[in-house]
Amino acid sequence: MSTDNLITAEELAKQIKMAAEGIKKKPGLMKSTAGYMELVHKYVDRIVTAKEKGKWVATHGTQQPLEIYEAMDVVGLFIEFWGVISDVVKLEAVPEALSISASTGTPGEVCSFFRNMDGLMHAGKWPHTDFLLYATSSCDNVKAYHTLGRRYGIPSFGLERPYYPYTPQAMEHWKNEHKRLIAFLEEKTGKKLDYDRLKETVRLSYRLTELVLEIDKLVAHVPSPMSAECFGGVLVAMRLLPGTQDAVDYLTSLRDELQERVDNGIAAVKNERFRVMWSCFTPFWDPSLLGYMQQKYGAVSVCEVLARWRGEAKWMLDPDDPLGNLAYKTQNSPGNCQYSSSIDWAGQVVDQARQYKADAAIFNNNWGCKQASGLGPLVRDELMRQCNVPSLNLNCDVIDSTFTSRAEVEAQLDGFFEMIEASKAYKERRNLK
Amino acid sequence: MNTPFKALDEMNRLTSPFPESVAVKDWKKAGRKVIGWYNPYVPEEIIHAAGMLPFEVTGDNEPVQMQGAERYIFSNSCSKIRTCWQLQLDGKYKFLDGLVSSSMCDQDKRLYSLWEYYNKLPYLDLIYAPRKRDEEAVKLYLADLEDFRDRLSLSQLRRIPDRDLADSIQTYNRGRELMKQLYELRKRDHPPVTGAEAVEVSKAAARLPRERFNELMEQLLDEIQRTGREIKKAMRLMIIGGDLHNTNQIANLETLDVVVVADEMDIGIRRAWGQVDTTLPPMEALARYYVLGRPVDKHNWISDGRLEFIGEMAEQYKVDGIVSEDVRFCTYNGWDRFDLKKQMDKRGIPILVLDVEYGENWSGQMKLRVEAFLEMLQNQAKAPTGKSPKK
Amino acid sequence: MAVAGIDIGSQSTKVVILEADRILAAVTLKTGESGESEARQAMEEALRGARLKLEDMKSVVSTGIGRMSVPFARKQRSIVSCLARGAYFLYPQARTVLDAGADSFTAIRLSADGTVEDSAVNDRCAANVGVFLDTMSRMLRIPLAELGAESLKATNAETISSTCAVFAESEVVSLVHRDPPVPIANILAGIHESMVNRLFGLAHRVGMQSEVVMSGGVSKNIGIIRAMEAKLGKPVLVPDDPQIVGALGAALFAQEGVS
Repeated sequence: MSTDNLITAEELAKQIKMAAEGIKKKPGLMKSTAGYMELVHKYVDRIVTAKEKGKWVATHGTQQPLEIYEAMDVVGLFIEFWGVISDVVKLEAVPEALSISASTGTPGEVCSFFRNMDGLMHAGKWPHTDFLLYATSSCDNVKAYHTLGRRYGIPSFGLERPYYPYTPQAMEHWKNEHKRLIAFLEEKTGKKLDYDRLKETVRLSYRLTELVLEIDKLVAHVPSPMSAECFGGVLVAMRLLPGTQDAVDYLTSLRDELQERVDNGIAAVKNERFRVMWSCFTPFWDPSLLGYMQQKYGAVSVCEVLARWRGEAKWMLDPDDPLGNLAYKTQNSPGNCQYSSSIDWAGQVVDQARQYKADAAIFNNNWGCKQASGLGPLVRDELMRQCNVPSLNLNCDVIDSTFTSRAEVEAQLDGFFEMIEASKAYKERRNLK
Repeated sequence: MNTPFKALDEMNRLTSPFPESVAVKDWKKAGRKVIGWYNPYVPEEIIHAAGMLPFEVTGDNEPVQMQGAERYIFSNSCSKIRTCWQLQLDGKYKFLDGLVSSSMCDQDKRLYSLWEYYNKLPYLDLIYAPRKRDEEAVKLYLADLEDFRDRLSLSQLRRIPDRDLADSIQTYNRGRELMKQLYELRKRDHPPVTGAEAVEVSKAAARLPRERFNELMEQLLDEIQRTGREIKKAMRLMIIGGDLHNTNQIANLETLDVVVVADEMDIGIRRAWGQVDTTLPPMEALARYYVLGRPVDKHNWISDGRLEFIGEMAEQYKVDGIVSEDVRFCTYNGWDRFDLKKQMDKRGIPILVLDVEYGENWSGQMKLRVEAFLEMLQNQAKAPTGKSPKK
Repeated sequence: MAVAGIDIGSQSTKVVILEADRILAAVTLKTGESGESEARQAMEEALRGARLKLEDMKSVVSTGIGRMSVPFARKQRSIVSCLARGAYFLYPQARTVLDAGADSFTAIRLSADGTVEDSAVNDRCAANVGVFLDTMSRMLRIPLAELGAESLKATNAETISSTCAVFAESEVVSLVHRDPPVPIANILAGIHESMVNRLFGLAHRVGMQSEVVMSGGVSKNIGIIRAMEAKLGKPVLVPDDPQIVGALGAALFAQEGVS
């Protein structure tokens, strides 16, 4: 079984560093693009150098209190991101890892984020990991953490999230799960959590939230100043590096650049024809698609459901109760809708369609995602019902570029944008005759 | 030809036609309500104590043709969930007065939302199914159950009293006890019932008023004892994996020289194992039972117990092999495959893993592969050396 | 003032030459590939039929998977728009278009003025309808063009439970070799029913409003049409040449571009 295309963490870090350098020389991109790649590089580099710096590495899932990791010198490795960044650096890497996973008997119908990890672990190419940490969110695949942990002798801990988190007893339970996580980490690392340090990481994380909300307002501007090459920056900063000064610095500069662009009338494209929202996730499997859409159709991506807060997101209830704040944060945080009802997801998407004045929604139906497959049509229907925004469903694999034919996707995009342009709702929205 | 059991025939009569059966019609004629449920973390006892009939929403003995379900749920989804939704679209479940699910898996949750959005019933409820099996999980689940009991009571404008809960627990415990007795009998070298018949019993448990089911189970056990019926087949199989309600499939499989004597499925053992502790307050007892009282489930994160249980069950029931019918797209079964195979190899128990569509008939791929597997088992049984799982 | 529309699919290339509302020529070539030489070949044949030269074309619009490979096309339009346009031209009462090609299926909902309101294409599992019928034709040794007529002789449609085309093949084999064997007509009727059921689900995503038009090569199979009509409970409109609907729509867009 070939492993030639698999990529190690060290190689990944090297490639990203080169890409970050290369981006600086590329004309026509937003200034923050370089910062974005540098942030990504920092993220990978932290993982590569953790051991030599006396830190631990935790491979983890979604909705994790990364602020706790940060305060305990535990470096996070988000498995979903690992698949995404592999695609950016070497498209052949992921299909090869998936192939190895298939050889172990893991069916192809489970999420490829996890199959990628499965394959890489089987080949011994997953970055050194001290623990596997996960929570009930976002989906059934988190069972793989314990399973793979057992198989490879890596200790694991799961936080049980109540489905309805709003009751006092559910919040108490959820907060206790955070305490249990801390106890697990203290036991494994031999170090006690410094609560003052935790308060600081939580404060920094909250600052991130404030910055994201400011950025959201700017991105919602018509025309939008946010160009495709920087679109993923908010996701990376907010969901991978909360509690770090690096993330705060990056989003501060991004916000400043967006403000400058708005003030000077600089938009993502000269002629913004369509404002597109991603009602599931952005096309991780094809890193060039957002740019292609922007260039060919004047279709600017304005929001995605995984990277946007709901409402005012005031989750810092008490600066002296960091755990309480973190427990509460999960309820509204971006991507939390994956763990709630389909109607909740649809509601969030509708709110965003209105806030960002979307013309179109694209729902990427990840073949291995039972969450998405079960609610795509409902979200589409609710979007039409509430704000007359049509949806395109793209059947895909979230990180396997070989699953979809790019030609097919382009054909579907052609038809979709032609349809929207001819529609009454679009013409009314744009005051066209 | 096995002499049919009168009690089983009566179970089948009462639960036909599927799903709006004789029993359901009689129940509704009496002005009583039916609440649907569809995974094993919904305590039927609470619904029963509220004076309503808990009815498991499933498919049955024929695969259901998708005729529009995929307009609501994409095809890369669990075919059991799509089947249930298609049946709803076909109007087969219009007798339901309500639906309760638990968020045991992603698709369960999504099916619930479909009902909520496209076909809102007078009563809809969702509770959480803990992934962990510890005291914290029991506490969490108990809190959810209390809320469920409150909401169900409110919907009936009648508080479900503890006394009624205790009675319902007794009734359901009795049913479990009787089903467990049937399982014990299947340990015999020549079991008294086929695998298909055992699944029919299990289905009936979730489709009949529990009191009537208990009566018929007692009759069935009595008939078994009186007739001394024996199924004499050369090979013994265990079926695990996703839910399996198509008993025609098993019946066709059992036309070969094989009998299904055991299972590890929600539709099977999970209905029959353990007892709710009647020395505890009823709600706490229910929470404890549903979280800790049954064998480790496929959705439990720490699956070690599940793998061990399957191995032990296979040995206790002296099976020649295991067939895992994994409904395609099932994440939980998918992640257990590798270690399941390893563990069964260690125990010397051959296992065949199939990717199936829910409700699939005995034909095509399934038939080909299972027949080949059985041939292999027969050859192994004849081989003088090597691992030979035998009675 | 003649114009042309060219639809390059994965298995065939179709060309329509149009003048005012008259189709001067319509050609379908089984090409396999979807490149420039196939486009030229089909175009030449159509021009021969219309007794015209390429220079006589005021405009050419291309569509389909190979639409970018036509250097002599002035514009490209999506296949969805072209199918809608072509179907609406033939049947102004059309509100739903179901195009069943070799390896794809598209459902389109139209408004009363012919604009596309919604569309959906097959997912992996509903693909390969045409390719599957090809396989059945070879397996059962019945010419593809006769599968439909043969299926109408069925006394009863045999249930094909496999939703996967690959597994359905082995299911069909077991039916043929059953003792006693299931009549071929019944198997074919079951196959058609099973295909239609899968397509139906997709079609429902856009909403099935009357009148329904079926296009694409698979629509030439009368068994599929009857099965779809049975499912809908009403007749389905099928053009005389259902494969050229996309090319016709492209030609209409070409015409619009010059008027």
